[in-house]
Amino acid sequence: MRVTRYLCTMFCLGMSSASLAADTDFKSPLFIDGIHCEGHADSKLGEALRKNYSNDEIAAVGVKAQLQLLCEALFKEFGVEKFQWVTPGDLERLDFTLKHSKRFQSVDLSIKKSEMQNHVHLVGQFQQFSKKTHYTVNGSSSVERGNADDGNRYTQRLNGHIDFERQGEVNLAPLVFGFDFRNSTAKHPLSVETLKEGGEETTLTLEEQIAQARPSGSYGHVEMRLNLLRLRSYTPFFTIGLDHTRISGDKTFSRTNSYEAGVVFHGDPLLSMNSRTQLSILNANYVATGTETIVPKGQGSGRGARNITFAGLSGAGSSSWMDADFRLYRSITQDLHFFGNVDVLFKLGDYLGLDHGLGVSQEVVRGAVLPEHRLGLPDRNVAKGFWRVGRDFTAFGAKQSLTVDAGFGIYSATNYTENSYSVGNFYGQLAYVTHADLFDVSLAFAYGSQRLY
Amino acid sequence: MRSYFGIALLILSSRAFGVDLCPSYATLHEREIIPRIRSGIPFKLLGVAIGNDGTVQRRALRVEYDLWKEKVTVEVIGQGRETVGLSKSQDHICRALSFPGSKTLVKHQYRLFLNPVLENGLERLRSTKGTDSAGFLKIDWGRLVKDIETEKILLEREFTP
Repeated sequence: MRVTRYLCTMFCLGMSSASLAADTDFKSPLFIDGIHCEGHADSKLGEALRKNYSNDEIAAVGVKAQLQLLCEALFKEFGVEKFQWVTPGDLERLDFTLKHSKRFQSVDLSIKKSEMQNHVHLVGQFQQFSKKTHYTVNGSSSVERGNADDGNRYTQRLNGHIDFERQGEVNLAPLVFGFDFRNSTAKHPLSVETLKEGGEETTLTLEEQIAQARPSGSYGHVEMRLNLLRLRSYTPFFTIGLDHTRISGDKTFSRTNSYEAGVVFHGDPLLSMNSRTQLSILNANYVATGTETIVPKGQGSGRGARNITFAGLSGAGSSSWMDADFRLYRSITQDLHFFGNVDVLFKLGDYLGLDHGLGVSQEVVRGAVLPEHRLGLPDRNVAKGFWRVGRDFTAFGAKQSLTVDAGFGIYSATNYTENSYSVGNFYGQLAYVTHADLFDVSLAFAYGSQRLY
Repeated sequence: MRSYFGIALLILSSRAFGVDLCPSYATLHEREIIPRIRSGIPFKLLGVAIGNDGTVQRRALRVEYDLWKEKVTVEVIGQGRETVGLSKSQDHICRALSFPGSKTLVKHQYRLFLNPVLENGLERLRSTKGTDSAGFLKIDWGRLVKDIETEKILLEREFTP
C-alpha cells in the first residue's frame, strides 16, 4: 500500500525518474541535501517522546532525531526525499499538494542554498490546526403508510459523534464518542396475509408467525473510538461499543458488547477523488432473552449468548461528479452472516439555480445478528433509487443546505419462518443540514406511500 | 435543410478594456510577492478583470526564481517568458498582469489570485487565448472566477471611471 501510494503520488506529481532528467520546461534541477521542518509535530509529542529517556541531555538529542525522522517521513509521503533531484516544477507541485492536503492549517515551503551549486535544503514551516471538539448530530423521522389493520410505521433516529480535540476536517480526532438511537413502532408488525405472500404454510401459530417478524422496538448504541497517531497515510483505530435492543410485543431484549480494530487508509489528495478506505475486524458478543435468541426451529427458546467475528471493508469517496460510500462485513465463523450497504449519489449539476443528483442505495443483511439489524426483517435487501434536488446557502455564518429527495424503494426479505416477502413504495424526504465550525447538524423528514415492513 | 446544430452559441468578439495594475501593485509586491520569490518555490498568479459590460479578461503568470543567478523568470502562460533581475521584477510582473485594451475606460472589478486551482479551467484558459468561448461551449467566467479555489486573493478592487 505504501509503495502503491508512493507511486501514485509520483504519477500525480508528474514525476518519474525519466522526467526528472528530461523535463525540458525547467532546465535547472536541484539536489536536496536536507529536509527540515518547523511546527510539523504536536508539542505534546515532544513531551511524550522525552519520557522515553532518563537523561535530559540524551533526551534532547533523541527527541530531535525522532522529530527529524517524522519530518522526513512527512515529505516522503508527498513524494520528496533527501538526496533526490527535483525540478522547480516538482517543488511547485509539492507546495500545491501539501497545501491542498488540508492536513495543516498552513504550510510555507522554501529552499535555502547549500554549499554546492544547485544543492538546496528544503524547509517546511507548518502550522497545525487548533484543537477543537466537534459535534455531529443527525436526527430523522419517517412515517410509512399502512392499512387500517396494521397501522402506519413510525421511525425516529438520532445518531452522531463527538470528535474530541479534532485538528481540521481531514485529520481524525484522537478520541471519538459515537451514538445511535432508533425507535420503530407500528400497530402490528406485519399482517398475516403479508407474511404468507409467496410463502408456504408453516406449523407455527398465527401469533408465533407475527412474533417471529417482530421488527418494532428500540435500539441504542454507544461507542468509544481511539484513532492512533497518524504518521503515514493510514491511521490505526480501536473501538469499543455497547448495544441494547428491545423488541416490542413480547418484551425481549438483546445486549451486545463489540470490539473493532482496524486501519483507515487515506486517499491521495492529488487524485480527483478524495477517498478513505477502512479494513477492520469486528467481534460482537451478545446476550439475548426470550424468542430474541436465534435457535434452530424446534429447539425452543431461552437465554442465549453468542460470539461472532466479522471481517469488515468500508470506504468513502467524493469527487466533483459523485459521492459514494460502502460497507461490507462478513462473518469469519462457520455460520454465514453478513451485512453491508452501498450509497452513491451522482451529481448532475446545476439547473435553474438548483443542484440535481441521482442516488442509488442498497442495503443487505443476511442472518441479522447485530442489534442494529434487529429492527427489520432478517435476510433482507433494501434497494432505493431517488432524484435529489437541493441548494446550498450561507446563513448565520454557517454553510447550510436544503435537499428534497423523491424516489422508489423495494424491501425484499425472508423471516425466520422462511416466508419470502417483497414490498415497494414511493417516498419523499426533506432534509436540512448545517455545517458550522464546531458542529454539523442534520434533520430529515420522510414519508413513504406504503410500509416496507 | 440547412442544419444549425453545429452553431451552438455565438462566439463573442473580444471587447478588451484597458486595466493598468501598476499604480496599486507596488505595496503588494513588497509585502507578498518578494517573500514568495525569495522562498525559491515557483508560484502562479492569475489576474481577472470583469467589466461592467460583461466582458472578462484574464492573465495567468508563473513566477520562478534562480537562487544563484538571482534572476526572476516570469512566464505569461500561453504566450512566453522573460527573465529579469529581482530589482526589475515589480515593473515586469505588474505590466504582465495589466491589460492593454481599448481606450475607453470601463467600470470593472479586478481580482488577483495566488496559486489558483483551475483544473480544467486552466486548460481552457491556456487554449482560448483571450476569447470567451472554447469550441461550442461558452465559459461562464463570472461564475468561474467566483468559484476559483485559490491559496489567497491578493488584490480585489473595483474601478469606476
